Amino acid sequence: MAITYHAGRRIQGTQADFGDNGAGIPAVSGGWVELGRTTLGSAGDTISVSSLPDKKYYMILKNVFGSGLCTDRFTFNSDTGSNYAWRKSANGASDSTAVNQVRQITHTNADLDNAFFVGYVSNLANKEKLHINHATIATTTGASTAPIRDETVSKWSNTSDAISTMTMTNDQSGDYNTGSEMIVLGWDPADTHTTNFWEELASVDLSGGDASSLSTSTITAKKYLWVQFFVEVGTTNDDVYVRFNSDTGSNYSWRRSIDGGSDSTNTSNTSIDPEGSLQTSQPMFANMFIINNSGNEKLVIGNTTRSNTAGAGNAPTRREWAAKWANTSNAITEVSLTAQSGNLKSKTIMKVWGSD
Amino acid sequence: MAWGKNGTPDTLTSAGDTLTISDLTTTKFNQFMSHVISSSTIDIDITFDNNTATDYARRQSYNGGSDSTNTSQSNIQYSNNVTDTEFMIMYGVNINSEEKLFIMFQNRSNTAGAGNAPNRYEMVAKIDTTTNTGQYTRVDINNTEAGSYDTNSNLSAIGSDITPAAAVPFPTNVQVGSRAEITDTRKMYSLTDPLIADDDFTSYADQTAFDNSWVTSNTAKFRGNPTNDNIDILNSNAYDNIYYDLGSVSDTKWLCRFKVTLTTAGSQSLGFCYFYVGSTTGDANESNDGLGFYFYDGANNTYALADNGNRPDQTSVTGALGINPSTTTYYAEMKRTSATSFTVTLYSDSSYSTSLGTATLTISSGITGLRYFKIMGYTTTGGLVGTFDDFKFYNNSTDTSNYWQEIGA
Repeated sequence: MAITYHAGRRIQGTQADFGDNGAGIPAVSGGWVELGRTTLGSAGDTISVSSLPDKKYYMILKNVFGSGLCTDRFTFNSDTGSNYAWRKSANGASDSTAVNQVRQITHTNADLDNAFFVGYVSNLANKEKLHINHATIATTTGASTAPIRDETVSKWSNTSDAISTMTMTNDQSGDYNTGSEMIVLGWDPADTHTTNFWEELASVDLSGGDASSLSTSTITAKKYLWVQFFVEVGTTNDDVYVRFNSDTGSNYSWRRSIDGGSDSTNTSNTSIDPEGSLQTSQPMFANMFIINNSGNEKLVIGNTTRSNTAGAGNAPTRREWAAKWANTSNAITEVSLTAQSGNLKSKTIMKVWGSD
Repeated sequence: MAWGKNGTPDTLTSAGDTLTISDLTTTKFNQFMSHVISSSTIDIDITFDNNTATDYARRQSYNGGSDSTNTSQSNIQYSNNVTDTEFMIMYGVNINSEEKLFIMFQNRSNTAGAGNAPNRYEMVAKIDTTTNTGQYTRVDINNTEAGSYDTNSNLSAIGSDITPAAAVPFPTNVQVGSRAEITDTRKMYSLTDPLIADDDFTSYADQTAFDNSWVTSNTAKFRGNPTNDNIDILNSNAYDNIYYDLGSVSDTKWLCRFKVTLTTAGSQSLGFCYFYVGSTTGDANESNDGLGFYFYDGANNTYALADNGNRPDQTSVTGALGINPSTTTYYAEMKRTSATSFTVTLYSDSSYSTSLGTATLTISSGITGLRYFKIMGYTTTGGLVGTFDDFKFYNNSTDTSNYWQEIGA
């Protein structure tokens, strides 16, 4: 009900309008908001985003096109003192560490032909800044080669300053090519903005009943995609295929670790199959980030968990994976989940968010 | 729909053992962020909807090692017996009648300094449907170890099915005395000005008029000055006071602001000067209920205080503002924000924006019946000297805005 004004200095409204002690209808704040970005207009060795406001948490999206040998050496506030330490794993191999470093590293190979990074940072001025980063990197084009996946955690030991600048630097002979980009998003408990970097592109489900597949239908092409889905199959030992633009050609490759085991790779596949055989009544939850440049291979950072047999007596399973769709002519404008042989159950749901 | 803030983030303002978001919207997907700072040994145990039954199971890898699992747990424990700072990102799916699934990543700072590499933790977890089949609306992070979570530890959530929107305030830009009629609850409210005392001391025609409003127990210590339009703090070196009768004061919410200029401070060995709202007109050595603060030269500090039937000069509930009294002008703000919370802040500016120091006290809800604003002294060899001005008292509100006062149904 709208608030109405009446004679005798009377105002009428509902309790919802009035709110808590007359505070009215409270604001509903948005999620991650863009704080800054730098996109290279010409080849270079540095990408920096400065003048960042002080936020509790940052989310960092990086897309690098490297020429020749190329690295991402990462610093905060242009500090190149020996104030960093990190831990990394490439393709699920054992962790390695380094301390008293002059920068963080976010990957292993000195080759970033097409690389996609998603990182998170905690930012409290009087505490060490902690960074969690995942990367999917394609060093060879084509679906016959699986991408590399890197996992790193790092810290900046500074305990006096909030982060205001993030800089990635190449210390090898190559360059970051034109179009290489870093975007910094922020989130803070005190935020009151109503804007979001991540715009919902699709929200689909099978509430109408079981079906062999679930598709977003056509979505707006966005450079960065975030996908989450919850899927349950109706047939034992059924696979759930993730595909883009209904492409069933042998254009997908991926690597994955099952329950922390060694990576295995699948190349020239007709889909991404993050889990393998799903069982009935054992739903799977997936989180995926995708870099979606029409002229480049689409790179995916993925994680899934499956409930396993129902009940707390059975621990869930997990998959960590990196994938690519080798298409270099189209952006992703449709995402689908397809059961290999049976149906997806009616609880299946998928949401896609995106941004340029 | 889009991602939006889900529930009220919890950031600790003092050390504690719990971080809670109790007002989650039932969105299908959530992302949780937490930054937990340890004081010493802590653990981090996550529960949903206060469910501590053995409905949780998890799988985890530490620093890329082989997975381990824990089943039939009473929480999702992602840190145990740790002493560092923990940063966690967690994705969750929250669908009615389904097991709730989570994917989590954590960076543990390890021992402070760049000489120690951080540790990483990867986890997936679930909650079965034994106790709760519906969607969760509350998440807690709990510590059961000897240490605690330090100030600024935080738990936040964003949810997937939220439509961000600006606030729509209920009108207050109408005349004081306007009536709000709430049609569904049938309650009525009157727009009320919380300002019940506003005195810049320019209105007193003579000393008598001044003394009638601001009553002094000793004109040699505290007295209104109709020439200079202020109150002179001539010397706070005795159990004397000057008071103003506010009438009735809320037992839960009020705001008091004023200006104090000290011309003698910092050179006394035991100088005290109290600014105080009490239940009686008595001095600092007389028992009453009251809230306020005092400058204390001898300790080179300023303290908030709360009295529940005791003498202000023997109070045991104090909090240091970290301000060494000096010969300058302070803009003081005393704020009772609830029956059990009281905050004092001193500012350097008349807009009350630049804080010099603050202290928040957890107080007894038995502190009631406050009525008299008082400036009080303390018997000692040397007191503080200065002036007092621009006094404002806002009742039933913790800010200066008009508010809607319920007047019936």
